[in-house]
Amino acid sequence: MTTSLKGKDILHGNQFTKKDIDAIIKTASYFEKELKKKDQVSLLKGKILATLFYEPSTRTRLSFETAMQRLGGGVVSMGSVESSSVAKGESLADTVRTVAQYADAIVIRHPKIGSAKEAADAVSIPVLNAGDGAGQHPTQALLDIYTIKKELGSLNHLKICLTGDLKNGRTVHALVEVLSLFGAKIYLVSPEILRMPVEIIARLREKGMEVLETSDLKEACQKSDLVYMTRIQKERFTDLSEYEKVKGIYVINEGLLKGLHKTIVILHPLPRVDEISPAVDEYSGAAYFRQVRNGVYVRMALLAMVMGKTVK
Amino acid sequence: MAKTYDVIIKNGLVVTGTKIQKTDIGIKGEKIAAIQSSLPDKEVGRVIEASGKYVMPGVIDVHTHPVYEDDMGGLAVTAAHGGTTTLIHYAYAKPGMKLVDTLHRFKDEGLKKSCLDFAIHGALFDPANQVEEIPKAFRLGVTSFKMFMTYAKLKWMTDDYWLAAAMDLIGANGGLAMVHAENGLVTDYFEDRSLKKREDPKKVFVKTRPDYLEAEAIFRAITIATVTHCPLYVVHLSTAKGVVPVQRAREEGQVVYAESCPQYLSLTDRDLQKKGPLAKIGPPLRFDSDRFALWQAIRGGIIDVIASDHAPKAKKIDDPFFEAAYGSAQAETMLSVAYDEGINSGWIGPCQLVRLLSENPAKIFGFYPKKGTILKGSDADLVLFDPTEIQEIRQKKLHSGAPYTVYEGRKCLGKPVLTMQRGKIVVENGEMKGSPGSGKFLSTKIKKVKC
Repeated sequence: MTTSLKGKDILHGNQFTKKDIDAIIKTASYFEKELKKKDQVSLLKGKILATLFYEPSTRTRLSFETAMQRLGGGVVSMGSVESSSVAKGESLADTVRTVAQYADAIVIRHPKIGSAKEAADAVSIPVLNAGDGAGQHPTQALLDIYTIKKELGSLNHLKICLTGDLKNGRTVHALVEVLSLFGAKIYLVSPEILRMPVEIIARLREKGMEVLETSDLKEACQKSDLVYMTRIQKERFTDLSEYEKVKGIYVINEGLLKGLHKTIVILHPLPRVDEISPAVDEYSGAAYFRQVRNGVYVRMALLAMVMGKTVK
Repeated sequence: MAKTYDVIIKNGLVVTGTKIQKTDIGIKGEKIAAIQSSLPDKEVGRVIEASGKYVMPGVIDVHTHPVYEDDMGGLAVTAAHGGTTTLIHYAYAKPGMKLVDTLHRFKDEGLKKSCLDFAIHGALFDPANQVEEIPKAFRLGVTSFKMFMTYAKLKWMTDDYWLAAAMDLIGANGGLAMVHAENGLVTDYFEDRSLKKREDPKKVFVKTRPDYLEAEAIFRAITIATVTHCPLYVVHLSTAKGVVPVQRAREEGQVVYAESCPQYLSLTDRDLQKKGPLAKIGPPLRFDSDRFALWQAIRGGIIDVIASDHAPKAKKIDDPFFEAAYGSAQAETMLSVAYDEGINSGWIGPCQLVRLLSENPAKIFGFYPKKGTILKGSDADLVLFDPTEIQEIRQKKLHSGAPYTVYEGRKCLGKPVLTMQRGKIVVENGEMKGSPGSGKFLSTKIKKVKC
């Protein structure tokens, strides 16, 4: 398989071609199979990954670090922002330039939109965006895509309902970009103040994607193969009374499920709060925990590919 | 001021056999004292934060053999690490042994060594000389008795005459007959034939114990149980064909319960070919078609119980296959493997898993609602389970005396992180906090229930 991602940064959901996605899924699937048989696929022996997390994360960070170690490579990471030279006022560009002296690739999470691009522009080694504020989270989107492929068997012409916080949800922003490659039709369901940014919707429509905004979650779910629920992110509200107003508007519960076809798949990037009621866990299409497992395979695929490695 | 609760488990996703709800659990002494959201946590001994985790009734493992590499103490330790809070052990009354003496011996050992509550089944290896003691066993709180329809060459097999005699007595006393159902004479013939032909015993292992022989023995056991009016429990159902007679008997309204085990639900003969003696168990590991049929039967409510058949033998992978003992260590991995295989593959949901591992066993053996559920007044026997943590199963991380696990290297999504028995933490984050002898002996009382 040829890799088109060698030496590239992973910054934004709109950077991929269909061929890229296909290659990522195949590579991730290869790692999934190999890791059933053994602990390590030593493709990146001797390589070092640096992880720079300016915002808290357990899942994404552990997933990247595990992925690198499963590939036989090493990991160096910045402890906390307070204990590093960032606290002394070092600029992001300077920090990544220094780190690039030690590492073969960098994973970065930063609260500011566009920060990953800024980091990538400062260095020549690949930079992988693990979340830039309310911007993008492309590796989560790719693991979602991998999960969708596994759950539904195909990516073509799907009908997908996205709901929750579509304004700040960086995962969703990246995911819709990737979905637009596959002729998907999407239903967007969110409180008025948390609608998906118009410039994203405009871009999707330009690419020929059918995008429908609605306030009726039930109707949208009835028409969809999959519903992607996101958490309303309390931490992104400056006015907490605004948060209180919108937090419980859209919820997936047993009552909603009863009116839906029995094969609908439910995803959520986790952690969830109350937007999916616990009773829904009993339902076989509840795939949000299964989703977790795919993160390592997809991140292994991305790390291997940007560092120029191919698999059978 | 007196403490309102000794322990509060906060914000967990509380799972019972019928529902999942986000709520708090207040525990006072050994009992669940309150189930409601936002319990005030002032004046509380300890608050356990359980956001994002399932809080399930502790597992009731009704199929364990404490006579190999784990005694009743060791078995409780390894089981507790896997989220189990109650065990029902088989007390082996081997040929020449008295039943009641044996039961006393197992009960005494358990009271001395077990950190978990436990009950006992009688395992009758020689019913011809043991059935007369069955009524006495009931007075000791032992009301369920297993017989082997296989292992004729080992002289463990019970023939139809004594199956009938035992079931007649067990039924009359209100107990439960349990059978390992395989036609032992035909499996022995196939084994002898294969030995004569000098076939590789590993390659033909499953072929010498074909599925029809399990189905036949189940049908025969059900027939004898029907005519003697005795409730029946089929242990470790392993084949698609074996499901059929159970389903038919149920439809006819007979009291027949069926159990399967994580190994039959997750492994096949392919694993035996790779792991050789380590995966030699009786009945043998089968095929994917059987595995899928067992999950279908679980979904259809035909299989009521998942239990471990924990029989940890000292085996090595390069031991000669034919001589190797039957059995494997399963207690500690049961919940994780059943969760991963059942829930993450979409066969069942958490409520049904709780029914299979806790609620149904508690109902069948008469512990419900004291155990097997989460209700106000129930024993605080609980397991906290993190559905997002990926654990890799390694023998060296397990606590059984068995020198191997058939799941070596398997990655399970989901992991038990805390086990509590009657309000006391037994295991937390992999650390044993229980003590030998803290377990209580439980009398069983067979209930005719609809699972």
